[in-house]
Amino acid sequence: MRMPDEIERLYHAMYPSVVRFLYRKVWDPDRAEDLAQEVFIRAMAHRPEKPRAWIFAVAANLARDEARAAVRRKKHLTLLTNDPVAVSKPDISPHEAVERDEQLTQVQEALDALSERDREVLLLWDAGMSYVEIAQQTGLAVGAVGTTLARARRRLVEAYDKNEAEHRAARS
Amino acid sequence: MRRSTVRHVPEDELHAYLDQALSRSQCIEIETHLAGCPACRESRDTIAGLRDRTTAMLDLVAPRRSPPPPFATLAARAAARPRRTWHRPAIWAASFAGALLAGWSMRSVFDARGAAASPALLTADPIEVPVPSTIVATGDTGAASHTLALTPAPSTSLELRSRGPSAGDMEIRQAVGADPAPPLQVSPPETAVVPTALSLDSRWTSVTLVEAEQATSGLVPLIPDLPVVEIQMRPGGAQERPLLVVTQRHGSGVLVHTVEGPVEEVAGVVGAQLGPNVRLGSSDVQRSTPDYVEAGPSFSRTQRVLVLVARLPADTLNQLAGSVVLR
Repeated sequence: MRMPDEIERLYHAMYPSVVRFLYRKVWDPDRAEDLAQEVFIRAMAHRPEKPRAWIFAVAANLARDEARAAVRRKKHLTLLTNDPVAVSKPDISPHEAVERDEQLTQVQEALDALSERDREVLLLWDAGMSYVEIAQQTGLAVGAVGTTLARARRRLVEAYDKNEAEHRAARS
Repeated sequence: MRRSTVRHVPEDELHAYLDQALSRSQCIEIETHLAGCPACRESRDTIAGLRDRTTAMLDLVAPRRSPPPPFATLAARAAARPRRTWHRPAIWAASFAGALLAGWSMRSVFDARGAAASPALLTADPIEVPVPSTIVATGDTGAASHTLALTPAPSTSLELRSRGPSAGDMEIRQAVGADPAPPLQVSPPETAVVPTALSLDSRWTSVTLVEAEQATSGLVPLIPDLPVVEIQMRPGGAQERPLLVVTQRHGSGVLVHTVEGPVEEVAGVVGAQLGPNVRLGSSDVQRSTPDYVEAGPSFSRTQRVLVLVARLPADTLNQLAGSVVLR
């Protein structure tokens, strides 16, 4: 049985990582925060034995269900791709802002082009999980995590470069 | 003569090595090999570059950093939920998705750059307004709707509209009204009344910063470095934070009022300040941290906004609004 203070400690340590992880899946900063908070609220009620792994597992499940729900209501969905940029960089010029928005869209598209497995492993790694934790969560062998990460990184960069080349060709 | 076979370090092992995911002995083995193998050193450098690039790309799509809500708020929300034991994560994950669909229809995001951007929003002067545009429109559930409109000038209006079962489902639009009423003739600035305080009804009470922080779980909107003149508070709905007006003194001596609360309440307060002799400006409407209200096993969200009101140019107010922190 875990004491609530462990969840509190994890909340302070992991909240930004969980939001970051969720954001790359739902592409909405507010929704990512809502879901992250939901994860920790559930952790308090559930008292998992391995809270760290549990938190990311639940976050991944919520994001997956969220994505399915989003597909169903797609026609109602408005994604503001400039939302995080506009807030975090108030002092950049309009030209820089446009360029940054383009870059952001391209990264987003590149990430979305990865297979579910590759993206999951890459995002879990980026959220600060170890190879062992990623293996436990995804069911991969620990040795396969490096292989998957290698492929995910390579494909992400390839997809981004391809997008950028296409955008550049379209502009010229 | 037997040819020596060189086992180069596989790509995935180099990733694991750079990710510090290998044991000490594995690292020593790889480092020993790298010392004598230019090809693998080149691979390592290429992979390090690839790794740095992906990290930079992921950083680019990082969400804005906002402080997490106080843990006590989450604990209270957790405590308010009915106790139940879940054995399979898939069950509650599915129920949460259901709750999202049922009660949490896509909340609207409004564009702070566009909404209420006119500096003359709260002035009574006849103004030139560009072609009307809907700033952002989102999900329409078709459920009952209600609309609040600020109509400070005959030719413009700002509507803060909430639709659907959740107050978070809203829409803000700026439009040119069709009202052909003649422009209001307003008093020249020298005779204008410079407000020292907003006119608020008897439901409002003055509170200290500490009291406001306690009542809001530490979410009082403050412009950093400006002295606080007064904080006024009005109770919110069940499980909702109170409505706040934080008055601070700008360097020019002008009082700046930050009105923070559920969107419709803020619209009501700001709208009530309008008058023929008052020349107030407002900042763009900005989102603040929403309220979460328990609704059965899930929760609903009440969208909250903040607006700065003062006798200052909109540019100045927007700059100040951008610096507001929720403390």
